[in-house]
Parts: sequence; structure tokens; C-alpha cells
Amino acid sequence: MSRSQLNFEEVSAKYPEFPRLIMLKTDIHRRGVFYTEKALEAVDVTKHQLGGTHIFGTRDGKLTQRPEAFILRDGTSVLSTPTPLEDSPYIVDQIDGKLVLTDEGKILEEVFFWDKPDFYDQKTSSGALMQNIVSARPQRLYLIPNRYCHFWSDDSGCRFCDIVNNLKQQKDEIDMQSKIKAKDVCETIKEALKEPGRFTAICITSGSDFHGKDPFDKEVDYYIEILQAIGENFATKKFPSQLICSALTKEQLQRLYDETGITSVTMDIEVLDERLFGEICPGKAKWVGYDEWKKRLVDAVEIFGRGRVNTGIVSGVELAKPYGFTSEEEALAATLAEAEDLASKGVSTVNMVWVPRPNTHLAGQKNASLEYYVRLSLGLQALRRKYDLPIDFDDYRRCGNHPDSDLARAF
Amino acid sequence: MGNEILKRINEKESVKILVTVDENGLPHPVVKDSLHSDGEHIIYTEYIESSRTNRYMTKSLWFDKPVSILLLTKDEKSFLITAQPHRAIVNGKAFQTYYEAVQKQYGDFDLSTVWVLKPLEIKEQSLHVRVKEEENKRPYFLHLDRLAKEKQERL
Repeated sequence: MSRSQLNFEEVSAKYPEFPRLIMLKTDIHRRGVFYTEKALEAVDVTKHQLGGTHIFGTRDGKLTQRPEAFILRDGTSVLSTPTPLEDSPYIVDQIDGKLVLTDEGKILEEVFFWDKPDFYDQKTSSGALMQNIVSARPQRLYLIPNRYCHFWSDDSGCRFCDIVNNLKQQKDEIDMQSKIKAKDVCETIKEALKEPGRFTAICITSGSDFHGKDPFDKEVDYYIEILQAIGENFATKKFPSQLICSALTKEQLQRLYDETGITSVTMDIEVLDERLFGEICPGKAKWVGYDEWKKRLVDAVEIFGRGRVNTGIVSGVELAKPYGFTSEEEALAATLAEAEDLASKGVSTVNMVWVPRPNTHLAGQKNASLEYYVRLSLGLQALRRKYDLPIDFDDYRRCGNHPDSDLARAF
Repeated sequence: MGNEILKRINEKESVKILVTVDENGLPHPVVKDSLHSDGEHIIYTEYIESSRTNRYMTKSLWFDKPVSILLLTKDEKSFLITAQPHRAIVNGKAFQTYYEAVQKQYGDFDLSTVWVLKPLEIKEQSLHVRVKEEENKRPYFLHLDRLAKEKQERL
């Protein structure tokens, strides 16, 4: 860490209104985490959820046999992948029979591994392992119908993204398929719902697929097929759910809303600056464009309603070299101004801390300072309050990957 | 002593009031029948996720601000318990056990959070106990006529 940056204690002292546990989570996302041998000895494969099924890869390039993630004592999920020791990550250790998070030898917090869902080791009638059809967060069922992003077919995928490289590794190591079948989905969801009090939401996301009569029609058709298969398990037409998809047209979104049980939509713009969008997300820029992406987000509010449409940003990537802002002050001002423009039209913005993963164009770079992330999270949550935008479908419990929406449970 | 009092939270006839504090520092007292104790911790099950109490409990946990629990027992004793929200269990097998218990008790009903509180202080607030304490510790705080020989002889 550069000494011009404040450390955790200094940021904590400077922003006493920001919860320490959420700040800690944010910093873990920034720096990553390393599990000691003793911590790994505490893993019980019959009880705890192991990693491997996630859409993105790990920081150390290894897939499985480690905990998927962990929870803090306030119920906050920490979604951080194992990180090499030389990158100075936080440490998860087992001390006096308890799992604890440490930094520089100091015990900071007790942590808890995620419990494995009951359906994880079961198989569908076609023989597919259910955890490879639907993965889980502590309270969310997570489907990735298509793990291949077609923007990568001409190397115009997002510069921070390792989705395709991760898929290759998953195929080799855990027999992960790039696409899933609707029947397998239906059977897996049915099994998952047998566990009382476990899940509160369903989330679907995929790599972009611009094929079809109109661009992304094929992506939409596939979502509809999968969502209808999920819907067979519910007594109500609508069920708490989130679709994270490409920026679809109003007609495509209307089809999705009318023909499935989906209740909210997320179309990740990734970076809130037109110039950087072009550099960092060349596929999205080519097939949709920055202004059109924003317009489609606003259009979605007409269909799904206020508080049910948002966009994600990979926060910190706006500072990536060589195209990014050269000062955090400038980056923060620009990002929050654009987020406010969207919020004023009913679209919420959530941030995911940028993890410069190996196997990406931006590998080896550093993400932003902790203070930057704290200010960004405070700013994004303040916008939701100002414009009265609930974020229930993408909060600490339904998702857990956005430090800003973690704040919504109390602010 | 502490453990015995904490266990009285579980008595069906006890009245239990949880007092959190809102954004302006105003107390937010609510009768919470779901409060119970294993003699060491206090457990409170919150059914409504967006309730004010749930929000204020979260802030208490985040910012290390204790809450108060007023306990009135069937023998008319009252206790003031100061406690620190320590853990919010919102998922996992432990949560699911509570969830199933709630469903068994109330039918189709949801559960938001299982709060675990650490007691910091337990004080009996029953009038006779407080009066005795006042007499012992604050001998100046009384009216002199109560000490008058004539009155004492009548008693």
C-alpha cells in the first residue's frame, strides 16, 4: 500500500459514521484473503460450501477445495477469493478453536464459513451435479445459464474480466458446462426450495450474447427459457429475483417481464464515464454505446418500477492505467455525478470493488484506496436516500457484493 | 445471580421491553415476546426485516452502542438489562432452526434476523430494592419528618 494512502485505522478514524465491519469487508475485497492451513483444517466438506462455481476466477488462479467465502458477525457476506501471500491479503486463521480474521498478527474478527446447501451434492435426472447448475450464496440461488461471453470472440470483452479464461479452467478441472439445460434448472430449484429458511432470492447472469434478429435476442430467449423453468416451482407468477444482463431494449425487457417471473433487472455499465467505457468495455461500447446503455436503464424503470433497476460498476477500474483518471478526487466526482444522473431517473448504482485478477488485460494493477471506496459507498447510498430508491433486491442479504448497498439495512 | 435473572426472560408471564435508540437519540421501546436467554446470552428474533428495531439493532452492533431490556416478572420484580448486540444470524443452519420453530409456532410466517446480545449489566429496579439502595447510599435524600421521633414511635 502506498504511504500516501490512509490505512484501515486511519480511514476508520476519519469516517466514524461508516460501520467498521463494512469497512473491513471493503478492505478485504480490496486486498484479498489467504486461508492458513489451520483455517483449511476447519473446513468440513459435508457442511461448508467450497469455491469453484463462481463466474469469475480467483486471485491466485486456483479453483476449488477452499471455502467459497465467509460471513462476519453482523451477517455481512464477504466475497473475496484466495490471494497469494505476497500481495499482503488479510489472513483467515483458526485460533483457540475459532475461525478468525487477522492482519499483521492481530485478531480482528471472528468469521464463519458459508453453510453448504442441502442440494449441492445431489444430481439431476440427467446426471448433472446440481451445484454446477445452480450455485449459492448464503441466501441467494445463483444461475449462470451461459458462461461464455461473446464479446471475447473478437477480444472486445471488458478489460477487467476473466469470465472466458475462468470457464476454460472450470471445464478442465470441474467439468463445468458453458450452458445449462432448462430441465436441470427446474429440478435443481425444486430441490433447493425444500430447505426451509435458506434462500431469499434468485439471481441469473450470463456472458453477453449479441446474436439474434435484433442484437441480444438470443440472450433474451435463453433467459426466458431458464426463467420459465424456474417459475414452474412457484405458486405465484412473480418471485423475488434479479436478472443481470446486457443492456436490452425496451421491447426485450417487456418480453422478459411479461413472460417470466423476473422482478428486477441489473444492466452493468461497469464504469460511469463515456470515454473510459469505450476503452474498458469495447464490446459493450460497440454493441450498445454509453448513452444508449444509460437510456436503456432508464427505460427499464418504466417496466420494472423504481427501486427495481440498477447498474453495477467495477469501482476503481476508472483509475486503471493507461486510460483512467489520474486522481481519485476526479474519479469520485465524475462517478458520483453520473450515478446521480441515473438515480434522478430511478436507476440505482451499486459498486463492486475491482479485483485486478490474473488472466485479465488489467492484471498486475492496483485498485483504489480504502478511503476512495468508503467515500464512494457513502455517496452511492446517499443518492439512494436522496432519490428514495430502495435496493432491497440487491442488498447485503440478497447479494452481498456491494459495500454501498450493505449500508442500506441501517441508513 | 445474573444467569438466574436472565433465565426469567423465558418465563411466559414476564413482560419484556427492548429499547433501542433512533437516529435522533430518542428511545424506541417495543414489547418483544420473542426475547429469550440461555442464561449467558440474550436472543431476540426479529420477524420484520425493515422494522425500526431491526435497523437500530444493526446500528447498535455496528457502532458498539448498547441497548436496554426492561424485564417485568410475574412476582412484580423489575430488572434493567443493558446488553450489546453482538451477532446477527441471518442465514445458515442455526438460522434455519429458528425459522422452522417460528413456522411451527405461527404457521406461514417469516423470520428476518436472530439477534445475539451479550449482557453487560443487570440491575434490579423493583421499588423495594431501589428504596433500600437509596437509603443506604444516599442518606441525604429523604424528608426529615420520616425520621421524627414521634413518627418513628408510631411505626
